[in-house]
Amino acid sequence: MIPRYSRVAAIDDNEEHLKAIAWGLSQAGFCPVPFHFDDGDLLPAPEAPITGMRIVFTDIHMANGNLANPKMHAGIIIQCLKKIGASGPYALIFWSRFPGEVEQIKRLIEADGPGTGLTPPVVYGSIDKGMVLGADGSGPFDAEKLRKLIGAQMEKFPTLATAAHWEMRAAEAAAKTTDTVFLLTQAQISEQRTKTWESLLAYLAAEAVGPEVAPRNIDAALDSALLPILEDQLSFVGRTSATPIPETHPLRIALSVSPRPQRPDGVSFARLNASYLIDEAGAASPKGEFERGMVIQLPGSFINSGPFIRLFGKERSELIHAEFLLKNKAVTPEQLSQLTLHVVELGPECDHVQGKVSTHRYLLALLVPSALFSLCYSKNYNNLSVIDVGLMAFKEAPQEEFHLLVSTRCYMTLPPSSALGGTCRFRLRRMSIEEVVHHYTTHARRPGVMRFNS
Amino acid sequence: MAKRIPFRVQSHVLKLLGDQLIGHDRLAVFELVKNSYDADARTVTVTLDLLAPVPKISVRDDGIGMSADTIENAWLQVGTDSKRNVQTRKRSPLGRLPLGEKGVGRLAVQKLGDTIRLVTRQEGQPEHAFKISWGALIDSARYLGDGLAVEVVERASPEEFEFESGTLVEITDLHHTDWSRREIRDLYRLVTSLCNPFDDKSSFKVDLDLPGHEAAVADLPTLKDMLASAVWEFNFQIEENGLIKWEYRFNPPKFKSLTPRNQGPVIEKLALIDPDPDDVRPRTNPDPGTGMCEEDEHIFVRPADLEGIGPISGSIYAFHRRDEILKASGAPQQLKKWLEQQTGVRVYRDNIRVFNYGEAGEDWLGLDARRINRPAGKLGAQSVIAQISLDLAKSTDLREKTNREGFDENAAFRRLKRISLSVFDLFQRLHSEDRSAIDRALKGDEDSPPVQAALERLEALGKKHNLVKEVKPVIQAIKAELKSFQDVMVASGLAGMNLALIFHEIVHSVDRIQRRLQAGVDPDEVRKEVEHLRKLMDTFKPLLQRDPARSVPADDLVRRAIGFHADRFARHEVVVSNWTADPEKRHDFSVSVPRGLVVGALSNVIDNAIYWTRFRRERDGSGSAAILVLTSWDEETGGMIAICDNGPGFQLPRDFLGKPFSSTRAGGMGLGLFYCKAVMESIGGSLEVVDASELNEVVDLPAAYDGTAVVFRFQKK
Repeated sequence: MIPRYSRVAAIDDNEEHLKAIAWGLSQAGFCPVPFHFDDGDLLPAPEAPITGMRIVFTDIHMANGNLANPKMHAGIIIQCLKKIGASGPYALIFWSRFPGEVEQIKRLIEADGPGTGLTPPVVYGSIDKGMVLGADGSGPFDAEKLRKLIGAQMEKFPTLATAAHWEMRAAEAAAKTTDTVFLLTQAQISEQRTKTWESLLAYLAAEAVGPEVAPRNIDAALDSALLPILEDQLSFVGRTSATPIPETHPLRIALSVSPRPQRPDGVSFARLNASYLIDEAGAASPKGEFERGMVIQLPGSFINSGPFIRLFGKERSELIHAEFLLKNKAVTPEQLSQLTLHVVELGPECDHVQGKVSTHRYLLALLVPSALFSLCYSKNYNNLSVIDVGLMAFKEAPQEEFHLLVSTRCYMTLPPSSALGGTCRFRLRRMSIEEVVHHYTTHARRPGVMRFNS
Repeated sequence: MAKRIPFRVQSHVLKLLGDQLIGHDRLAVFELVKNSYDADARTVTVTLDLLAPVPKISVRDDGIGMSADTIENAWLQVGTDSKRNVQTRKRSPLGRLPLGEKGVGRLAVQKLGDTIRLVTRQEGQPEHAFKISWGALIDSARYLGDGLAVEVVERASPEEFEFESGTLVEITDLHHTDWSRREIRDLYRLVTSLCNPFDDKSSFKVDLDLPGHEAAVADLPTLKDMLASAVWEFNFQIEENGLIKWEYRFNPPKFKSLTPRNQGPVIEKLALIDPDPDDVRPRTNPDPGTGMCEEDEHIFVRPADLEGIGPISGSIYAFHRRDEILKASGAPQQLKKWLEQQTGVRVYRDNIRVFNYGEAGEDWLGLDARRINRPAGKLGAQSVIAQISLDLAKSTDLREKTNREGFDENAAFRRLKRISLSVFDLFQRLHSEDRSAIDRALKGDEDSPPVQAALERLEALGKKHNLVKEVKPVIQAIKAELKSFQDVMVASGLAGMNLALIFHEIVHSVDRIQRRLQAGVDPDEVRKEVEHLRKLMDTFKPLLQRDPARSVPADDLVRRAIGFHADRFARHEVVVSNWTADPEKRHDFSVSVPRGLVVGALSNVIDNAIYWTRFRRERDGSGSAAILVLTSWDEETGGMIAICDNGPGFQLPRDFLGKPFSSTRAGGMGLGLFYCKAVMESIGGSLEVVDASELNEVVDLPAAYDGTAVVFRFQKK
């Protein structure tokens, strides 16, 4: 079952019906987030899409005047879902007086939603308003029945429930972090408790990122301050779960496949890596080229320019050959043109956190179409100076796969605020950066030992 | 260790195939008639002789007959590819393509009797004959291939076909010989419909001989008799290029002032109705840009829609089932009853019937269900005798099921259904005006049934059919709604509004529910009808129980209404210009209105504009679809919001604006503009539909908007 106290959105144009569903949800143990569809506007208007809304209840006919126009009604639901921010897996439960319309509206959302940028629901359900509000929607409200109907719906999505439980555990890790810090304050007098707590948080924030940086972005400073405890708590997520998963649970059935569950056909290794190793959305970071781990495509105007030659000592073609390509392989000009030069920002983490980066360090990198990968150095060739971050494919063209090669011996530096004007492509995730740093430092510390062999 | 084990089939399979091949024993006759067609027969005589010493059913034709070789290698071979084989599948001297293809149809005769005698002769050849007792044949060998044999006699002196060629199949040891009058009539109905009775030029004719039982069918009207009583006739041909040529005739009886009306022939593109939601499948190849599947999105039939189907032609004869009209049409007394057996939409391929389309209870186009949701036409399956004709050589993607229960439900069949329904939709739109004329003529003769009494009858029927749970709450709701409708109308002075027509539809809807309950139809049908009724009431409920008026800027009304369709503009590539959001072109004014009502009304018109601009772009094959929304303020008369488009222009007479259930839009319910008009009148404003160019008197309208302008006028306060 969807975990108790989960947030559940509810949309209706009829305020009485909205109150009814919100009341029913709260009685069933969930946290309702009601939205009134007010002739085209959602009230209160979500300031930004709400992350992690896994269950949405919606009325079907929210516009006056033409109940027999399913395309329009489906279009309105799609718009509402996009405003609320339904993304990732979520269940859409129709809350309507017309259960006979559900299948048609569902088909229209499936057909029309993706073209508008909507992530369609992973599952659907429905509750007939007539069963709790009377046939014309204005009868006596049967709250107990609604509570039961909601409960029955929430039982229907076991896999979504498992994901929601995981999210709940992750949220608990954050809550425990807050508790741990708060419990350090031992003030006896109530008036002092908040004050002591505030002082402690301020102290930790300043310690984490420095007293100059912390006031500039208190949230970020607190994130850094609490991260060590949170990371530890997160590493224990799930280990303490006592909720037994029944034999009939779809995930248990999927896990029982011998010898092991198979990767779904539509999910390539490259897309998996693109989710685990890099963060495509990270390209939009406000820090841009100065974000730690940012992978930046070098601008055409920069390549082979005077500064380029000064920084790397070679022209593009020569540089690529020297740093990344195997010596015994012939490379055509067309193949060479498909290799794109990038850099990876690799400033010290501590300086980044405290906003003290005095010089941004960028390692040279090359994005190589997988078809040309055999031309390049990789760990298969025991070349320690080039790291293959992994096979990856990007969201907008999942069929095109690439390797990102990072050179640990070829880099450039730039002072803060002196941007290259390149294109931020994605950000390496924390563990990927750690791996690059590990290779980089290992390579840099490589001693030149003279050794004689017989 | 591996061992090869024979895979064997017991002879009993012949019996199983025969039993299960067809759903109905009378269809076995059809299988034999199809063989006669394939043999180039011009006339087939089916005889049911129950008074003979040995009762029998025979099928005798004047076709080319069979040679000894054909008997051995085709008739006596189950599953033969003699008609299926592409190389041998060619047209006969009469230009016919073989209908049979699976080579198993003749086994179905076992449904009728246990013994079959076949006599055949080709011109100038000896006569051949054989007899099969199915039970004895099957018992003679345990497995197929273990020596099943039939003795074929060759007669130099023909006994059956002395001077001519042909084939006789005679079935005896009938499974039942006590045919009731109803069963004989059913056989008559079947036999007379096997070849296309609508096509006088057909070279194939099937007669039924009923020695001693002629009286059973003597009083039955012929199809011609029945068609003569039809009030409407609609003929059409859809060519492979997607164009339809149609002709419409309204032949009312001499009743009051009804006058005949003919229209056509017209050649045009056929507008498609939306696909049946039950037939929409997950879109496998959506357009990457829009996520839409082109198949579902275009407005007119395209040549690609007819691939694997070929040209479609047909005719629709529609009846008005009221006794007064039938009587005035000179229809025989029993016509109404007989219509119940004959109505439906049949399919013919090369003029031979495809079963079981058009049989009683087989509403394959879902006309009854559509009638619920689109009451404008008011033509259910029981009001039409229609036929759809296909070309066998070109309808290659329409494959008949082995059990003779229609075509495989593949993509081609779904397209055929959608196109056929679109033709019905076109006809229904054409006929609605004349239908109204009949209704008006009848009106003086009968009042609408009182709502209260109708509801009580409905409640009792719901109880009887165990649908209390579905029906009772709805009835209570309808009662309450109707009361509040009436109260509000009286109190608010809205009685002058033409909502009586909506009441009329409500009563009709209640009536239909009753009829369905009485006929013991599927409860799902009743639920659909109930849902339609509730939707209808919910559409108009806000109009009467409206929210309090509030002052709303005109641009806010427009913004909200446009917002309802925001995603559709991009998807359909419709350009929307909103002058109310343009500081240089807007005319600011506020109106005091129930906002939801007006936004809903504006949204309806925008929805229409999206359709009609796309309609014209696709019809003309060029141009872009564009909608303009503007406001204007006049110190004397007040403000207006106009929605202009570059569609084909308003096609109904202007006075139809106040009439519900009239629409020229394919699949349209005809409530949108009626609702808008009702909304505007309820707030003291008005609604006008004009040529967009007429707005030039008020605003400088770009010439591109040469379609319709729907103008919402608000009273100055």
